[in-house]
Amino acid sequence: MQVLRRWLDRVSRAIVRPLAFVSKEFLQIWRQPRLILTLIVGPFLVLLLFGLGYNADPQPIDTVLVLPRDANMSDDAAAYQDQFSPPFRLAGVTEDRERAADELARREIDAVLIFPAQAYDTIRGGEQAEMVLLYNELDPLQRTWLEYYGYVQTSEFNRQILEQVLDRSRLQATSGSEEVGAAALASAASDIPPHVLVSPFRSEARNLAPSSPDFVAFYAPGVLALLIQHVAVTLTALALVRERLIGAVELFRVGPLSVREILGGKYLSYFVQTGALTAILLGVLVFGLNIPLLGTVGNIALALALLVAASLGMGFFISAISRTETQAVQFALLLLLAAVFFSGFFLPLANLLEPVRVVSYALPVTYGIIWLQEVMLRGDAPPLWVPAALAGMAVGFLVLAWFFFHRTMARR
Amino acid sequence: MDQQMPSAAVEMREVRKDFGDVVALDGVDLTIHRGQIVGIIGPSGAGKTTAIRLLLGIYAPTSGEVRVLGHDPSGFRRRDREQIGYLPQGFVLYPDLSVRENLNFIAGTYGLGWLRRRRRIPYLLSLLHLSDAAGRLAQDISGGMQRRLELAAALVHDPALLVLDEPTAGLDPVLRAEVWDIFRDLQRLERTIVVTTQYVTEAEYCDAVVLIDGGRVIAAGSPEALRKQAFGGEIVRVTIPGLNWRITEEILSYPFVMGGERGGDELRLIVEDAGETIPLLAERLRERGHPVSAIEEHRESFDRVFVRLVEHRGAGAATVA
Repeated sequence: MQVLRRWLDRVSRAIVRPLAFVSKEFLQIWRQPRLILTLIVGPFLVLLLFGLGYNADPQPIDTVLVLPRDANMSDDAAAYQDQFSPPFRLAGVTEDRERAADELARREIDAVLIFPAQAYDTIRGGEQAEMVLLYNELDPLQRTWLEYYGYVQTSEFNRQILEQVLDRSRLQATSGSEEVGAAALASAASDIPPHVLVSPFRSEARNLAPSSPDFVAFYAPGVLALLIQHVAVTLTALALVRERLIGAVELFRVGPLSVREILGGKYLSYFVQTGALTAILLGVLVFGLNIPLLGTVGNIALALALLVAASLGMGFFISAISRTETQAVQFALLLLLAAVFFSGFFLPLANLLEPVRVVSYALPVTYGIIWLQEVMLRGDAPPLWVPAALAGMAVGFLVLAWFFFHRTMARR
Repeated sequence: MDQQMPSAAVEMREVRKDFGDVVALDGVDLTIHRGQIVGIIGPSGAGKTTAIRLLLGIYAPTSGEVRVLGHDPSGFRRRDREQIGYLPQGFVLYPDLSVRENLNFIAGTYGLGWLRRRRRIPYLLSLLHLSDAAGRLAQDISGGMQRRLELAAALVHDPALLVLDEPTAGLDPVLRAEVWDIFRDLQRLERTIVVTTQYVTEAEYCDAVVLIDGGRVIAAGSPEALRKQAFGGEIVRVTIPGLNWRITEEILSYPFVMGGERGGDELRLIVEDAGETIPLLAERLRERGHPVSAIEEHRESFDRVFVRLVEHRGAGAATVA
């Protein structure tokens, strides 16, 4: 009996001991509403926003139609509107190919479709006429889609022409007119090879972008930007929390340090360390993975410096408002989650509804991705609002961090 | 010291500090003069730490006035803060930095340049017996060594005013004595030291003692003055073999005896001044033919003084002159 009692006692203690941790961990977590907010509500909100804000429909491809000079074709866009099927959207008609190409280079339009000169003569001669689709795209996935859409659009043109040819009961002869061309096709159909007859036009897609990166090269700048933000935020998110938790803030309150000096010193240290890590990562990408770096060293250095600065600022802000290390880490992870979904890292920003893009533009990584893609894959400087936004975020988050940490240091 | 300090290093006038409904300190009047070692003694939760946080500017008083080094702590300038060294109650330095690295960091926060640190830090490491542990991480040293490290950090910038919250907690008696030697050395250099302690016996080492209980100052003064206050005077112990009630009554009737109690052959007499009373008493007893085997001043332990004062508590202004 005593043996049984001792055994039962041992079993009961073996159960009670781990249960002590069960109740303690419950209490410690549920007494941190901010932690619960970031653990449960945060990810749910991210997914909800993404679900509501993501638009899977292909974005319209604003296209300018370039007609051959002296072909006496109508330059009224309305005349061609019906011939374009989504996602192509006719943005204008012109005979000036160079101007259209310039607009495309400046990314004011998405594509230029060049109607071939003497198309019907070419077809009557037994060859397919080449319809050139110019675009300016780095994303390999988007390039593939554009080429496919170009093919589909050309097929649509071919279908429409066949309809006209077969529908025409009587062709009229007028010198130099394309109307004649279509009618002439019908009469010359027996002389035209079948593959040309069925597909008189073929699509030829050309990319005006300075580089056509593969998937690894295209996503590399985004990965770099994401890593920089995550590392910078996570490091600094713990910076001020830890001081508070170990009690060093007590010494700071008494000593001659100002909040500005505390933040400034920490910021400088983390900037140097994160900057060094960034340089190493960049080196790995460029020299290890042969990712193109078409832009200037100064441009990329500025991009990375501002991205690091903005990310550090965000991290300090998180650190200033977090009560525990767990909260700080969880905020940082939530930020990473939001960055993956909303920064344009793997889904174009254009696929997010405008209201949801507010989240995108609140993240340093969004601007980092835009800027790094521009400088690394195009060799261009970004639009001015990109560095301005990053600089503004760097200053703004630091000011917020100062405000909240100042409150921590204030007398009670 | 870098600047001329006012005569009073610390002044507190009718200071009250509330935390919500909890009254942590009430009606505290305190003046600490330059060059003194003042001990603030009291049980846990008495308000000692609250008092020193008020004079450091960490807390703002609910009412009353606090002046430290001639300034309201809320208006401390950087130069005022550079004159203050603080040792908090718990370990607040960096466990993942070494002893030397911690001191380097604290020295840096006080603006000490490399040259000054190069002289100051080895001196402090040697003074506090930390030289051998200089390269060890703070988390890897004992609690007593951590305390000494924090004391070194409080001293690294050579402050004029030291505020130390239980500086000898966790130290063995030998090391405690050494630390108090250091305090006395600092006092000779005209440093003012405010110490809180739960080791009541350390009150003996102070120039002045402030007893706090329940947020109120119940007594303040030199250790001797507090002893007198606790027992109503100084104590002389007389041992007479075969002491009886008749002799006891007789001795208690002497004019210079204010009171006393008997225990076996021993009488403990309350007198105004033991030094003056002992020869008088010895003479009287000899004249009366009482066989005195011993007559000496008896100094009650400060534990007993403290307990006595707490039992007979009364509010008082504390000008520790």
